[in-house]
Amino acid sequence: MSIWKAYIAPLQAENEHGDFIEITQFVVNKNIGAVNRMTENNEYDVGIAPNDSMGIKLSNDNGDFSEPGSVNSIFPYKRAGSKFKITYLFDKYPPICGFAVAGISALGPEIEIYEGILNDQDAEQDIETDTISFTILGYSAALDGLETVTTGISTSDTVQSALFKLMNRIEFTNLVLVDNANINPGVNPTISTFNGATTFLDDTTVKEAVTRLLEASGSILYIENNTVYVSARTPSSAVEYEFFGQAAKLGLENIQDIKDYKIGTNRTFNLWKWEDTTLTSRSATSIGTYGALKKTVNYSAVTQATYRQTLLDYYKTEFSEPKIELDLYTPIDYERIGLQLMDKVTIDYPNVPIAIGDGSLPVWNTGSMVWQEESTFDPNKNFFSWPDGLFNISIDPNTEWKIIGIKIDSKDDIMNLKLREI
Amino acid sequence: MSEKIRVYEVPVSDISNPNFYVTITDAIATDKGDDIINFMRNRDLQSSWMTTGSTDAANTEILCDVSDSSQIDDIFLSYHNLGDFKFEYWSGSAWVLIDNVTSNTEDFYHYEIVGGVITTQIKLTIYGTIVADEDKRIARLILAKKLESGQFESWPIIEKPTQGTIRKSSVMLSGKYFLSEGIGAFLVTLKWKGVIGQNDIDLIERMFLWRKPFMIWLSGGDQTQFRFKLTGYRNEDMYIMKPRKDYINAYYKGLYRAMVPQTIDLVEVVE
Repeated sequence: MSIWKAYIAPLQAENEHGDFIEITQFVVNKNIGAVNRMTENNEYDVGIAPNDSMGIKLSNDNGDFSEPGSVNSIFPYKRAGSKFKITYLFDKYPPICGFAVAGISALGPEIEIYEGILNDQDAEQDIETDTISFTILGYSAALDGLETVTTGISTSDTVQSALFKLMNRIEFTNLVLVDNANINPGVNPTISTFNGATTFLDDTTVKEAVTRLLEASGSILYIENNTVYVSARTPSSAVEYEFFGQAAKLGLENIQDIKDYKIGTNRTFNLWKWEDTTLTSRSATSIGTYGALKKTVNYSAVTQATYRQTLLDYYKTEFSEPKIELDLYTPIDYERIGLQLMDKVTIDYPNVPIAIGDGSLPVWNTGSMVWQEESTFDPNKNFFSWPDGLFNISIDPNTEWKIIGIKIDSKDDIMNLKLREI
Repeated sequence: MSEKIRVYEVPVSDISNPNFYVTITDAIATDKGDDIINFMRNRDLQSSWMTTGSTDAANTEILCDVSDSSQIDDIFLSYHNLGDFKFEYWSGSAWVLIDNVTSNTEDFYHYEIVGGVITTQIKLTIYGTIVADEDKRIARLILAKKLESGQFESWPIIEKPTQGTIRKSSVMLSGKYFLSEGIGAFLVTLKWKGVIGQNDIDLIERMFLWRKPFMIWLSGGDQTQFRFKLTGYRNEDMYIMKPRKDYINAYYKGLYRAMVPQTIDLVEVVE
């Protein structure tokens, strides 16, 4: 039995939020919605992920969630920009009369699953049912509403330094932690390396400016535990979790399902070209095997030809060979819900051999079995034949995977991890 | 002698318990099977812990550390080849004998510790295999605690015992079926036309209301009470299960002094 809760922290004044107020009892039909975070923009491309978002429908018969100025509204200043969060409590074996069984009860804390800001633009009120629907946007959406300030940013700034200066705004740091130590671009040149000026930042929103710098440095941006991270597409160094399939022998089954198993050609690009130039980077080996899978780019921040080539080569190295991707579904518990984007995991999903012939599984034993030519085949001699398998796929536990997407569904306590082979 | 259905808590030795540690001591074996210790905890009779290169002279020792003091009422070994062996528990100051077995020829072992023991360690010492000097092998080692009384006093009807492997069936154009199968789960319904004993009521309510899985042993220790040796009814068939439906406990025809009909739909669970 798990417990999901929803909270709102209304804006009291500009950049000033009140305390979180629990609003779980107003959530309609327990419809907290699914929370979805990704590092790439879609299944078939590479690029900066859009803002994550989720929907919520609340009972508004008392007007608690109406616009500011309404009677009973909990919003004294404005609705848009108010913080919203969802928490999870794995209260599987709750205490009885205040006593919990040691070793069995999970007296864990309330864990924040998702935090974002309330979007007022598409709020819809239904008069008949007295409900109101909102979209909650991830905190990165706050960058969309900020105009870029280029003061203090020069061409001698590295990408890391420029990103920090762009995001270190009270409107954003009021919501998340922006720390230079967590900004580690894949490639970190000075701006002068790829652009003679900072004019590519002019007349942009912070989100646009950040996106241009991310593209120019082969980086991704994601927010975990209210902290901003910029990094290359590299996973954690240690294996953070092991998943076991239905036939795994060395661990308890914790994979509910595996879907959308792709061999990776959907996100393989072996011929990179800079638009309107002759600059290309190609992997001849990959093209020979998979054909030309071309991607044309034009990252506006990068004007220097030398760096453009460097960037093309960087992306080609990252994406020229297919990497298997799959969606892994697993029941939620405290350990698994703590997994984060770019965490490294393993999957032990063995097949089950089914004997053919006399009912015994063949075992290769040097000296007692021989390979035979088809033309001189003698059935009286021991021969080796591959057994059949119960499933059509098996996954080696020695293969490592990184988490590139997390979707948490409160409806059935299942989380969906999108994994990419490392 | 016929045995009624027994019910246990999820064994402390189960693979779901991260605080259960096994140490193997064998001075002769070239491989003590340290990497595959979990094969005797993984609820799977098709995988076994085993040694390589061991002999009877090794007196192989399997030390089970349960970390926190735990009540152990019953010990099971399934699909094993142990001929002479001994179980002991740690009293806090000394090893105390539980059971000493000699000249065994069966591949299934069950011992009910009268009154149970509360201990932090159980030790199995193996002095010989059924066929002398074979490598030791155990498919399943269970250290279990009874749930409530641990055994029904009545015999429910065992309905629809199912080895459920079929996850999905699709019909092809020809009309033939394509079946997608998984490893499988055991499902069974226990049905009483009327429960008349308070102990059975207590056990049934515990199974429903404590919201944790438990281990069911349909044979209770006597598979010969069934005419045939059927999967699900064998001594080695023990399943971790939970009720799939809600608990309903109406008296028969609403009469306060009547018996209580009861049905439990059980499904094998992961945790």
